[in-house]
Amino acid sequence: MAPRHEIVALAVPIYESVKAKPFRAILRMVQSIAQAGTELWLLEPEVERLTYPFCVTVMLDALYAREKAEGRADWLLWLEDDIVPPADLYQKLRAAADPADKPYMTALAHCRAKPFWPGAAMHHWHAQEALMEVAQWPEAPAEGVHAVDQAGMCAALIHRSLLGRVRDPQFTVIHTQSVGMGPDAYWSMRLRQIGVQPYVCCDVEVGHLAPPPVINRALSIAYNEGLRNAK
Amino acid sequence: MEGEPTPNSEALWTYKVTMEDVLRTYPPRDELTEYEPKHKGPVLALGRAVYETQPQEATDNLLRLTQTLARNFAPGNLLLLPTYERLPYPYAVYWPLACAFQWEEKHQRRFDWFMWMDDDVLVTKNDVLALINAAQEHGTPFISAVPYDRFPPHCPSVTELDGNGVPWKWVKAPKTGTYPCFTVGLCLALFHRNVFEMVPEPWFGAMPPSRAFSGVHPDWWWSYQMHSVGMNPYVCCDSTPVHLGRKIQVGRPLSERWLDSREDWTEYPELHPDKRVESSATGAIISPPKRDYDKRPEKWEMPKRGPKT
Repeated sequence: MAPRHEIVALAVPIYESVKAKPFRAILRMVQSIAQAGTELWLLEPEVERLTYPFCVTVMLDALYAREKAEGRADWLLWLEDDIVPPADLYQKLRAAADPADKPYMTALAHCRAKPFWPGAAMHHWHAQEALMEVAQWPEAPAEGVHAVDQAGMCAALIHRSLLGRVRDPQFTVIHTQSVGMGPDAYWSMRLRQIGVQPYVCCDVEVGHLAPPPVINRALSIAYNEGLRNAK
Repeated sequence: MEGEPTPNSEALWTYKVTMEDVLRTYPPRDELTEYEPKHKGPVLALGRAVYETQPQEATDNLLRLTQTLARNFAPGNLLLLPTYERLPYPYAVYWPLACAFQWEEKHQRRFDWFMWMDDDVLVTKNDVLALINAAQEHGTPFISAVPYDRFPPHCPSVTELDGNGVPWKWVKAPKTGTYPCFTVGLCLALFHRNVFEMVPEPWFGAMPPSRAFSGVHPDWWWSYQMHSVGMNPYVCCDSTPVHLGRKIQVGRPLSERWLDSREDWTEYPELHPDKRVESSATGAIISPPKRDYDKRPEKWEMPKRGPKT
């Protein structure tokens, strides 16, 4: 059960439109949080059609503006617009999180592109080659809360204190020698720089909408062959 | 307040992206195999920003525009550059350009023009032709149509410098003509291929907006980069694409304002003020059915309706 005296600010950065499936799921989640008695701030950015990392900045602007009038929030619940959350997403993340020990808790989400691996990774530093290997989880543990080096931000619970501790730029996109780094990986890196461990809670999983498939002969055959093989 | 984002030079430079970064992170896909220039004449590469979906009006418009362009450029000389789903600025504009550069390497031929359109603009054939003609007439390697901001006060997204080097924003654009300016938006813009060898990278950049600062958009960034090598962007006032704004919010205020401000009722004769009457049953202002607008009853009575038997 999430503490009732806390304030959670919900940020759903919608680029232009939101698809039906996440839309209904988000409504159900909001209903669930409200029914549990938690004070919920629905953040509304002033500028639309912004992509990462700017969509985070405008949401934080909206959060700070509200705080100036109503006091400080306790948690920021970040949910991307192509995520289908369970109704009890917040309650489960909050139960796994802790303001002091686990102030950044993410739900288990899988990448929307092939091979659809979980959005969590460990880093291995190879000193001789001066290379950082990003080892993404090929499969998530069945349950439990796990420390990772980088966690996706599909659905994340961020304690408000972190926003004051991590210096600008907090969310941005950078490039390494071999690969780009998204805002979620960058945020994880910034957290670890101040000694905060990112966590993934495998007890709560969110759906991630992938691009719609192009259905043609090849896909149809592959699908039916898969069915036959499964039998 | 503690933790408030501060749009500063650090954030600006962190998001600095060059073509090299783009190629490393998002390798261009070879989706231009059908475009093989077999004819002389200019090659136009058309790039568009589509994040994930684009509005229906823009789709219809783009189909018509492509049809027109295809008639004006030789087969194989109009490159419809691919889009990379969910790729933000500045990658959104860099990546199609990278694909065009890859096409050049493959065919050992340069394209002549790169036309860039946002996904929420409506462009006519005349807008494009005006832009191409003005670029050639003024000998400028970069020219943009007059872009109107999609947020109020919907001014042209163009600035010019006063005598002290201070940028002033256009409130109303000149009715016609082509002018050098300080900054101009990229709703519909035409780049000559050579300009990418004259202007230093990063060609396209961005920094976040906040309450205190509007941020730097990719279009303004491009203008700054042009000025850094002593070049002026140009704006063509004869090219006036439409920028799709937010959906309007229709309620009593808008409905009544629309009715009160209208003077020409040719399209809606049944709504002419002379045809309206006040309902004796509800007090609402009512109008006759459209087909019978000229048969206004002397007295309007609400039809009697009871339960079906």
